Amino acid sequence: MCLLASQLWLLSRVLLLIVDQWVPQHDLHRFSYRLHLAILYAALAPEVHPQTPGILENLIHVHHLLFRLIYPNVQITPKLHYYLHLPSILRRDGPTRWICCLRYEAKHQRFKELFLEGNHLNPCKTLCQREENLQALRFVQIPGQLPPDVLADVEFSQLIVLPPQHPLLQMVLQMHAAPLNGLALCERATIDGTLFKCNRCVVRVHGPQPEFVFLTDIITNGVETYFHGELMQVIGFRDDLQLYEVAHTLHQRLTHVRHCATVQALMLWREGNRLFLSDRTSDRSFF
Amino acid sequence: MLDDVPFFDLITMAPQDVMHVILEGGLAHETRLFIEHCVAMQYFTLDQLNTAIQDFDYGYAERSNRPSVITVAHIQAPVTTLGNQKGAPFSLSEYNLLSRFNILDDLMFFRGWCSKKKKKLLCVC
Repeated sequence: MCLLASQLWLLSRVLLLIVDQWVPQHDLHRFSYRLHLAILYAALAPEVHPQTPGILENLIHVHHLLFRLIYPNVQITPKLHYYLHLPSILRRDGPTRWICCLRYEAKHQRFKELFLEGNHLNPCKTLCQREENLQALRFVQIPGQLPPDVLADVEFSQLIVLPPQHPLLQMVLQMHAAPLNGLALCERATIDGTLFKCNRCVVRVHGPQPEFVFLTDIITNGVETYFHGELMQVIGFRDDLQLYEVAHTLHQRLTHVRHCATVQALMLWREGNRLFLSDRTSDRSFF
Repeated sequence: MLDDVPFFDLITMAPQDVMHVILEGGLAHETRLFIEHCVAMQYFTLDQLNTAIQDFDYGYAERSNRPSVITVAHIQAPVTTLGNQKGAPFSLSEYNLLSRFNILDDLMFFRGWCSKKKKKLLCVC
């Protein structure tokens, strides 16, 4: 497959949903792919449950046996053996998501581009200096505030200043002990480099059970940011698709950004009338 | 050679990477095999799959990662030309033989790291 790693990550998450109508459930190849996907989710989970490495060992063992069974003539690659070391790495180093090369290689891309157009006398110094200048430009323009690109998003989206008696403002004040000034509604905001849009994306809230909030309002004053939206009802974890099936409810939920478990804006994927979420923190789906 | 470097434990300082091991390794391998199997079993054709992949609404967060078109040449490619896979695959008999003598790890490590970084390692040491 001539796909980039990020493309393959997306394709693997969505492939079972796409081929669900064509490939029967009892197909062993589909079952093997599902196991492989479960291994990927466990390896890329931001948090690791203490029982996960043990379960992952069994998953890998079963997957490799099944792989040998259904692809008897396919040569085994060294990469498949490397899987066996993943549980011990999870135990020793924690979530392997945070030592993954994916983002580092993407960041390295920028340095390679700069290197081609810059001078070659002292490339290390030049690259570091340019990167520092760029970061400084982002953060130092307004000291004590969020980076300018965040403010630009907040400023350029539709801003609605909340009146003192607005129910959303009252809810925020109940959550936050100290009074907050200049709270306003906006439709989109960039937080830690991730763009969140109202009426388009879902965030996951910290808790023992998976809770998802479909964003309808983002409340911010440039320092503190709150998400407000509908609480999604989790119908169940579809094991054959490795996706959460969810539905809209009328319950409202207000949460601070810090209490959101996900670092990504989750997308709602729809097939017919059903809604699905590919949650990358689905570590607990094993239990 | 690297074992002699002080304060550097080769096993703990060089862990496996999910991107190179799973995303560009086993999962790319199995995705190709799975699609090849489905096409062979006539569950769907490549055109149907490509249309479904391109028409799917991934959402704005995944728009830049939309998978490219999968062709017949992709799914029929031999194992050794897959993606960014650098190491040559072992045959089953070779795998059994190596694992019996517990030297598989050392050989894997040698193939995966040293062959790629040979020049740099020589410079360091």
